[in-house]
Amino acid sequence: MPQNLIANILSLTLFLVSLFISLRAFYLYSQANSHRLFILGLSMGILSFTAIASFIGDNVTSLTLNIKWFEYISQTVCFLFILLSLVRSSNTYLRRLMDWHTLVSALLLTLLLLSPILPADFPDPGLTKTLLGGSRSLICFIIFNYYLNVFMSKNMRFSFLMGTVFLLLSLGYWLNIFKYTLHNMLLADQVGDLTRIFGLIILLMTIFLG
Amino acid sequence: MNYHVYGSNFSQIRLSRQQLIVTALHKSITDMLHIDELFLWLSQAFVHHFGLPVVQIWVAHTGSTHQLATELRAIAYENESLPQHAILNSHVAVLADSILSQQSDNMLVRISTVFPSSRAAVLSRYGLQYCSGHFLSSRALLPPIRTDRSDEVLLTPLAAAILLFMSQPLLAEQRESVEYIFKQAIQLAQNRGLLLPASEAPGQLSGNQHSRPKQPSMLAPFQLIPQRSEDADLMRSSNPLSASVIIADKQARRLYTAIDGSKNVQDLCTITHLDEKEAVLALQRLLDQHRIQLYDPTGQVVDSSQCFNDR
Repeated sequence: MPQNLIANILSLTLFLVSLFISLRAFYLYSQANSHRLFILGLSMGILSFTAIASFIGDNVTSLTLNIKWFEYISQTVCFLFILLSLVRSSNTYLRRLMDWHTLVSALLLTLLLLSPILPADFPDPGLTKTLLGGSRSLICFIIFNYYLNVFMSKNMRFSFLMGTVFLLLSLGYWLNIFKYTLHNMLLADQVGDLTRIFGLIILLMTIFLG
Repeated sequence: MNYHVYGSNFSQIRLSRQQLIVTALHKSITDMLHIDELFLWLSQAFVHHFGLPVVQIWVAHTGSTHQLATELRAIAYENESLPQHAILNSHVAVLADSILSQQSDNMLVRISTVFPSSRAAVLSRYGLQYCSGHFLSSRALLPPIRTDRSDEVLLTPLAAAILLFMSQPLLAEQRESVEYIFKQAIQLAQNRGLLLPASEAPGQLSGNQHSRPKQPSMLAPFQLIPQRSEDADLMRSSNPLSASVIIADKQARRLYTAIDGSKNVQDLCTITHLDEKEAVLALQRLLDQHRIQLYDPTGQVVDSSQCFNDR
């Protein structure tokens, strides 16, 4: 079995799921003009970019694309904006958040465009990747807790499923970070990838069932 | 002992407590929607800051029978275990009534002289020996009690009796502080619209009229300012990608997109090129779906249920 098969499946799954959600969210935004939908659409759109960029970066070896900068930072930022869009419902707050998200996303896309000229690796890669990878896990865990609280108070299936999704994503990202500092962590990394794939499948199911 | 210094220190303490309460009142009154909330706040403040076991606020009002009656509008206790029947009964009502009718500015009675001995004994067990009464009035009109559903309400100028139950009579400075704070509160209530202006004819009002929301018939509907109400449950407990989030009506959607929280309905009509009838229909649709709320130019929320009914 090719070593990066699971990683490829993860990248493609993340790409397809994120792209679908992004397109759907933007369509509904055009019909409902809800700021939260815009933020969701933009976050998932950037996530889909990170996924496809990661897939290309890992498999098209003729291209020198130092995607990791864009991948790690963008995913952290996207999850952060999703979290921020959940915590308050004031129209003014969401409008400002939307504006900031647009600006930050433009900067992230600039990072993507600059990837051919960015350094191949992070300074102190073990520590930096652990921090960036760990931040994704942490933010997903915070989102999980948020949905858990909502589920405990309102007992809604949607909250339960979304909580499950973010718990799995958090766990998956957490399992991924061990490989940056420890040896022979391939199994943990692959389990982490499989966990994230499972989480994304549940996310897709939630969109249809929730 | 240096009584002069003691006296001046006590005055400083009184003034700072007074200022503390008034400052807190300035902050809290912005969230109040009815005069009864202010009365309750005052009662609780007096209990808390002056250590008074029981504070009651009674008012004189004219009910649907057009007869003057005495009504309790707020009560606060220090000790929740105090039996309510001991402190809320016909004897207390008569006491309040006498303060209101005689307009007694400063009345102090021993509870044993006013209540039957059995009741006085119960109150004595809780340390209540004295009752102090203060009369306050204003030309501003008092809205009816919030739960009043009678069809016709006759508004009367504010006439209130504050009853303070305590173990020892209040010091003169404490009495003055209570009266000062209450007067400040009445002034603030007038400024905030919790009391109705005396210039309005103290006549009958139809329906259940309260301080807020404002009557939409008093305002030209096209001067109202719509603001978006973001669905708090979206993405938290409800699926944001379901079709139910869509604003199906195109004109309502166009209007909703143009709403920025500062433009009134007239401005929005101009921007969206909707005529009067279309705008009203669009607004009604958005109101029915709870996507917007209407505010008057001063920022007060408007009861939109009656807004466009006659159009």
